[in-house]
Amino acid sequence: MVMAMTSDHPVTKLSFEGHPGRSLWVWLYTDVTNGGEIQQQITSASAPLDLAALNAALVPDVWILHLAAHKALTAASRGLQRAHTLHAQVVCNISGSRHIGEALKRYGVGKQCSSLLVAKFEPTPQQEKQVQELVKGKAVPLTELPGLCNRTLLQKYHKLSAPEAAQLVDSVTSHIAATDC
Amino acid sequence: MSKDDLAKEGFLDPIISTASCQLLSQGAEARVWSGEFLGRPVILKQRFKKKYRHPVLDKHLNHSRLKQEVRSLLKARKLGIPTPVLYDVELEASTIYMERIAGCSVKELLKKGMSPADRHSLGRKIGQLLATMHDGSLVHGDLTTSNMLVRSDSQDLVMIDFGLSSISGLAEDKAVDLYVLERAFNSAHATSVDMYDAVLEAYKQHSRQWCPTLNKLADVRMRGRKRVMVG
Ligand SMILES: Nc1ncnc2c1ncn2[C@@H]1O[C@H](COP(=O)(O)OP(=O)(O)O)[C@@H](O)[C@H]1O
Ligand SMILES: [Mg+2]
Repeated sequence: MVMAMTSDHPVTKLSFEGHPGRSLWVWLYTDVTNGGEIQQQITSASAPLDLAALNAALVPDVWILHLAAHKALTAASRGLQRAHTLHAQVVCNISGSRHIGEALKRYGVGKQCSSLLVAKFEPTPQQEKQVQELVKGKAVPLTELPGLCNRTLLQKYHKLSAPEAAQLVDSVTSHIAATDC
Repeated sequence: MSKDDLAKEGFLDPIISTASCQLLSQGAEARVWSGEFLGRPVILKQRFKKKYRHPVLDKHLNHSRLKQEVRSLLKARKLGIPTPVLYDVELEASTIYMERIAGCSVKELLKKGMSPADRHSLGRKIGQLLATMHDGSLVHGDLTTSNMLVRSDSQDLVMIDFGLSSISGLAEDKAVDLYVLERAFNSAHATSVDMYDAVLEAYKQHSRQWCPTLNKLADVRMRGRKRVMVG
């Protein structure tokens, strides 16, 4: 995991031993005011924005995103991707369920979303700039992610028992890992 | 066979190349490696093809056992039984990725030598954990001292290897689980009979259904002894 500052938007770059050469760039924003607009751009029929925009309150640790992205790359490399884009597959994997529509609705960006985790595989410099201009909010370092978590909602979505909820990240990790079982 | 056919049968190579890993064990059904996964220490467990089994049956058994192992790991976690964190499952490669526990198996600890007080407290931990597991209808199926690890930092007991596990509320199945453990303690560790006593003592204290289970255990022991006399 490499953290770097480009302009005033801290970006973290995730790499994958199992998928050499691939890299996922990640930005975190709080106080976001244009979630609805971003959602529209992603789902636009004419020129959809190709990135993953996640409700940061439902991603308790960047590790979870790292894992979901690894699984998406694995599925794509084996012809087993089910969502229409690699980035949508990442969002779907984070949900730990196979219902793509519901996953996007719950975990993806929406009007009510005030903290946002944005991720894109290998953006060009132009695409990087595009991401930074897209979000109206405050760019913050990824170390703030765990503090933004809505534990109650996450516990409900993953149907976690009390002992599971006490180890939130480990339990969500295990659920995501076992999606196909 | 083409790559697609291989994938369908669950025999692709895992995404994390096993060439970069260290082979830890080669059992009857699976190979276990130690490696790195997204920067973390990982255990890879791959069920392999059995030459003597019919290929279609083999694929079916492989997949259903792999899924059963994964589901039981999740079920144990749900019950609050410490287990390795599951990291990934590649059905196409019949492979499970999980947290690598830094520590020793109970078997190794006993071999190194433990004080009577440590044996007693570890035995009690095992008994309490099995009580919770059995009350939750999870039967491990292969309760040996090498399938229980102790973390070197927290000293927490962690259950592994749910490859033969099943979901059952039957006293008989739970009793067989305990009997397998009893045999493991009696045969391999002659000095640790006191530890198994501690297991049963804690089991009795913590399991709601200890009475029918321990009654069945007496039956299972009898049968076991008869089998030994005949065979
Ligand atoms: N999560 C783990 N962390 C550390 N060591 C492990 C882990 N899983 C397995 N091992 C080691 O590998 C051995 C074999 O794994 P196991 O799942 O028991 O396979 P088998 O079914 O072949 O017995 C274990 O006895 C243990 O020493
Ligand atoms: Mg074992």
